[in-house]
Amino acid sequence: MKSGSRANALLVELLIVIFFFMLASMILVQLFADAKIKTVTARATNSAMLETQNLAEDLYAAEDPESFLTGMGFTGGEGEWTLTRNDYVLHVIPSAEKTAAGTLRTWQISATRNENVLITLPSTRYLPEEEVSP
Amino acid sequence: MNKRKIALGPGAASVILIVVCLSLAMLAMLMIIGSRNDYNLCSRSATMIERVFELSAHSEKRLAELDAVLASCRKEAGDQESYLALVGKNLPADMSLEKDLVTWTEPLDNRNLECIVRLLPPGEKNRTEWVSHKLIVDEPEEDWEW
Repeated sequence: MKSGSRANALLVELLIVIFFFMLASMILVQLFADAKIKTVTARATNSAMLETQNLAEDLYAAEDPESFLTGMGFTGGEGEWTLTRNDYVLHVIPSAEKTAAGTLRTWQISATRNENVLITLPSTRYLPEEEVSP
Repeated sequence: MNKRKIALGPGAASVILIVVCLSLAMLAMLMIIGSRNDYNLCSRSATMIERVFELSAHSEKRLAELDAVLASCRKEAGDQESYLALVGKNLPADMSLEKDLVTWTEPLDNRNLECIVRLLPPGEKNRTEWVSHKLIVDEPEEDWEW
């Protein structure tokens, strides 16, 4: 009789322990998942940051930006150029603004991940019009 | 025959549960702190880089303004001296001319983008050339956030 009640008490204790363990693990798994998502996003932002900076500098210096982008593997043209990487997608939007003595050529480079913008950099270069000799 | 009896006393399972849960909670906390710090550092770097590139883009717009002035001055002036005098009179706001160098700064919090361009003499194909385009931090090293 005594040993039976002891076994029952142990069983009840185990059940309570399992219940609390499940409860705790449910919360902890969520915390681990959040931490993992943040780490992956940080890694993607870091890579995107380096790549967009390089791209901005290269586009600034490029004599023929369109063929440079094609060579890099970008697809599209005219309105928007796109390149898909493992962790993010790069978008390049060209624009030009006529000024009094030249043209301001701008490339808006952005990196997105799951439709969230990680970074956006403008690469602007002023191209003066050449003077016509009298 | 010696048979060893392994008995799980009352409360042992609860103690194990507490130890395991506390260990997992500690691990999760460390992971969250680490990942949050990484994320914050990345976000701050990205924001700063965006602002620096915007500053650089703004400096190109200022160069366009200056170039418009130079183009009109070249039409009116005959020689280098009169050209520089004319440019000095018509210089856009916040720019200064010293000899043949035009200087201006683009402010950003405690940083300044120092821009210096050389004015090329009339007759040259281009009107300007970049001499300096650098970001200067005005903050003493002791105040840097690590």
